[in-house]
Amino acid sequence: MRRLILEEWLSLDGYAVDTEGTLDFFPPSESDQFSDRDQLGFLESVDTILLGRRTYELFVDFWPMTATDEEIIADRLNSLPKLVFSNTLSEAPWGEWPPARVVHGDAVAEIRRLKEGMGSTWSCGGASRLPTSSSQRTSSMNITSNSVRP
Amino acid sequence: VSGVRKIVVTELLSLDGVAEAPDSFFGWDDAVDAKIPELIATQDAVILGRRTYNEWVRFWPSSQIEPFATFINGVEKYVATSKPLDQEWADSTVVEGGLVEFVQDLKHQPGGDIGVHGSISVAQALLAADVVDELTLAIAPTIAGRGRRLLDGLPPIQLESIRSEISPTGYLIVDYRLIREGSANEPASATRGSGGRRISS
Repeated sequence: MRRLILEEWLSLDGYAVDTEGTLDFFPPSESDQFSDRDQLGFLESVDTILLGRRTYELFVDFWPMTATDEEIIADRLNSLPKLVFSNTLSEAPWGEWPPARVVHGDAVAEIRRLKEGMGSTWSCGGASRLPTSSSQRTSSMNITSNSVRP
Repeated sequence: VSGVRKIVVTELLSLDGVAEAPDSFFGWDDAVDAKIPELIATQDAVILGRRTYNEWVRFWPSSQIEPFATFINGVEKYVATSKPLDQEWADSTVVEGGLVEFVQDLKHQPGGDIGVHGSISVAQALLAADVVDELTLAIAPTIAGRGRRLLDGLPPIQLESIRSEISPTGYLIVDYRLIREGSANEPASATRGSGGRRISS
């Protein structure tokens, strides 16, 4: 069975976004270069990315237009198959890259069904709405020390 | 090095930040154990809340869990309480007046580091008042799901991690230094303070 890996970037007191919905409490710093390499290794270990609608909208404004010489994870992130859980979107284009597939309805049921299929691991990149509703049913929570940033 | 004593807060937390009743989720291994003598070596005073005092006064005087038993039974203990204490414990003094003013005064008296162990309300009050110098956390690989959380209701605070390790059984042990306004240190990390959306609540 495929593993579902929940990844979140948090403040020490457990916030996944600030009041403006951003991650601006992660200031650009030297440590980002370490976490970028760590993140690339993580993305190379998964074969699908799961996103909530809000994170999709945040990511799609940045990542499809970004090249690997600017952000080392860009090509890997852009080329991975993606699912977006949303009852309001009808499609989820990803710039010049293949579009994400939109999943309507019960996200937990869909994830349970997909976990039975072939593949390696799954990632929920920053989609805090989604894992909240399905956290009881994740088979694996691989929260690395890097994910729980101070 | 200035002559001012450091305030060092030490807490055992679950991953979701619960500090209450750590016995229900916290285990020990050699790396967690090894942290204790290192921490208490520089401390010659501790500040305890009433609840922690009342629990500990029943346990530590007869305990043989070393080196903490010898340390806590002999160290100067200042207890933040507005009620009389249940039981006497050697070298204990009730804090008179405001806690923050008391601690600021204590910091400028001669002595070693001043520890805060457990004592959630005391830790929160001192963190909010910006008088804490270091925060040492041992974070269990567990989501407790319920209980009082250490970092709830605080203003935004910038931290710098000065040491960290993951113990063999998955405990994250981190020493943070609190970064003061006007400090030369670049903020390397932050707590968010109230506001924003948590992944579990």
